[in-house]
Amino acid sequence: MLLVALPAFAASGTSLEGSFKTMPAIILIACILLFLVVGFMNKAEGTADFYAAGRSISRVGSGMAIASNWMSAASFLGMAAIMYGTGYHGLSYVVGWTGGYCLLLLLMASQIRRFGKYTATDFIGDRFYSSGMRFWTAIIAIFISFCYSVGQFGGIGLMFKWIFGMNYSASVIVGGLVVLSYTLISGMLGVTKNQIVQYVILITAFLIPAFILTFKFDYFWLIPELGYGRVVSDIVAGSQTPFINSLGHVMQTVPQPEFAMPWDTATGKDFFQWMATCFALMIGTAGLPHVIQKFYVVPKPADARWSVTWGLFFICLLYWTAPLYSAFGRILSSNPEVGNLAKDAIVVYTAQLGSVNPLIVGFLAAGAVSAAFSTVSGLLVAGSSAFSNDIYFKLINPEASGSQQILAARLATVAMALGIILVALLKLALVAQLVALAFSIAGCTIFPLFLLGIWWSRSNRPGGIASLSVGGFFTVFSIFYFICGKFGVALPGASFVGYWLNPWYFAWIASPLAILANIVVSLNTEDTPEHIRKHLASEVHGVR
Amino acid sequence: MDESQSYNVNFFKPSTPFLKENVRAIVIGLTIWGVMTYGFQILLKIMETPTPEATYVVFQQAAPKLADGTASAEEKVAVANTYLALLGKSAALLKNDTLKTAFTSTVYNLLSDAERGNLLAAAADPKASMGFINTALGITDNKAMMAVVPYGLIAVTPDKMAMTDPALKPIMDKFFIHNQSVLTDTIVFGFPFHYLYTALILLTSFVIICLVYCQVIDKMMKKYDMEHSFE
Repeated sequence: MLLVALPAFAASGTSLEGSFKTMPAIILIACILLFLVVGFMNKAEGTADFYAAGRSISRVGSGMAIASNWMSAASFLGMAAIMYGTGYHGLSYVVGWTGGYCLLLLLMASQIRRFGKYTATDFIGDRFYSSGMRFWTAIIAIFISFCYSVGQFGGIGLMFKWIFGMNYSASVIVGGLVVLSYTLISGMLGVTKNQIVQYVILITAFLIPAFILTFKFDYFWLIPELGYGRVVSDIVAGSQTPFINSLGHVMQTVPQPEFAMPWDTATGKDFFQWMATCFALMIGTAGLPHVIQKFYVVPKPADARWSVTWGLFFICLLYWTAPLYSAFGRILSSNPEVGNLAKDAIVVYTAQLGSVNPLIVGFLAAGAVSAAFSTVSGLLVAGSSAFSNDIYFKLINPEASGSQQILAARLATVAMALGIILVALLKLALVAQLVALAFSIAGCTIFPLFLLGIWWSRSNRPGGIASLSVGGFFTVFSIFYFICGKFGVALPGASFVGYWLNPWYFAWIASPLAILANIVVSLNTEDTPEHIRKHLASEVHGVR
Repeated sequence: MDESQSYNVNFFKPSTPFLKENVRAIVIGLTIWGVMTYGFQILLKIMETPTPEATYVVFQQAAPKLADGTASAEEKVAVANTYLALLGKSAALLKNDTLKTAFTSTVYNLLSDAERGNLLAAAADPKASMGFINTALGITDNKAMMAVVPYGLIAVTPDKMAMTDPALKPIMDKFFIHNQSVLTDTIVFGFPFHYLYTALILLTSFVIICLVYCQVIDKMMKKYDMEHSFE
């Protein structure tokens, strides 16, 4: 006879979630209202004004706007989640999502500004003198926005679930509809000023609990980003702290070197995956349409450079701190009675387990939603304008009036948001992983076109088409295998593809191959037309 | 060089003094960036040695003796503690019945006849007092280990007990052997050095690379009178 004991995983995640939380809900609604008010106060009067909004804003301010545009639920919730689960492997996301800015600044930022187009699609359409490529880049831009947003909606859903006590599916639907309405209302409102406000809110919400946690548990709290180092060492060695968490468990753990040691077998991630993920995220950063687009709206190329640098600094304020949450989360939830926590909500759970004041935890959750909101509304606008401008206006109905274009953009926004909600309900992967997919796609389709488009005048239309085809092929191939795997269809070589061409990092090889294809095909076809080479040489690189 | 030739742009063949200097700055910046990011990880990979945790070393010495019945009481305690430390590592391991059986059996083997009955009762009721087990394992001052005990027990009859199981070796190798080196074992500001480097130093160096590059390019722009049309 074999009796199976069933230990009571009683507390588990549920006691941390509870039901409707009044104060967090009020804070969240207040934040959203604030964004709308700031937006209305800085309402843009037409397209030119919309783009030129950045002109009255300092480099520091546009740095904040870049940071808030960039940081989403993936940064706010996802990074800590992935480090909580896979330790050192998660740092490849932290490094990849910051190091990419060096690539962007050194190779592209001021050159893109000097080229003088408004969107990534425009750049590619003009540089490769091809409306076909403009169309396909628009499709890819929409698809990237889509994947990126699926991760965000997952994060919004988790936070709505936590604040309003609904189940995940209902939260995703409600949260998604709120973002959709917000985007439709705020579509043409002052974006840049709003993003500065959003940055201030999200960084404050993220940093305050870090100070509280380090102070409360007697670590070096003046600089929490350094103070949590001893937490990491405590986890590695097995800790003996005298503190207890909010559920009454001692804040102690058995030795867990797998939390910090590189590519530990216990995490199931190896050296190659670390390097490939990091590299794919870096080139993806330098190829994301909504990131690149930020450089077109600054007044001068010098501002493009300095705002990237400030932007990176403001991004790092959060990225220096994110591992702190995973470390505290690990040590505070180490008691088996806590059970399995939803990794993507670990930032909020950590604050709760550390008995941080509920108001501050509520502010933290609201900060996570703001982070997701600012990015999603930007992505929805980018995706829908790619549709209305590059596909509908340029290809389907060139006679369209301004109001027809706006209607097309609105409909595209609604269609995208509904599609995103549907996919988010499937809960395919962690927030950070879903977002990483968007980076891999950008890294192997758009990045090679920008890199060669700027730095090699010989790269021509056939080369660009070859490059886009290779990148597109790998994208479709990897996603096809991933989805088949998810639905239990066994394909030949599935484990090979799942390891080497995983959707989170297939760009590590797809991007170099796309660049190679571009070079080989370009060299074997006619040279780029002279007017394009002339524009590139004189306007972008100052050849006179 | 004819007129149309002069409009060629190639990163590797910069044609004007400005481009030469610009490319040089980019190459230097990217080299520092690449070495700092990937060079360090490669160094970490080269220097690493698979290092077992202390408790696993003790276990590996004691485990063969469990099989032939020559293990001392201390060795059995050490083995049980190793199982317990493993169970405490993740919620997934707490669902591994082989591991729980090995832990329960080893503890059972350590106890007196009277306590064995209590163990079987405790295995069926996680709320029961576990004090006698904690005492037998010598973990009464280790709250982290004590917290795991109720979750590590499994209700198993004495005839089904097994203190070791070959199926456990791969799991123990996976969770107890870590890639360590002087880079991971040196503690700086409380951090294992490699963690400090990747999580803080590397990110800071990205900001510095950008800062220096901006200043260098601004000077270059002045020198070559570029971007004036934008001023």
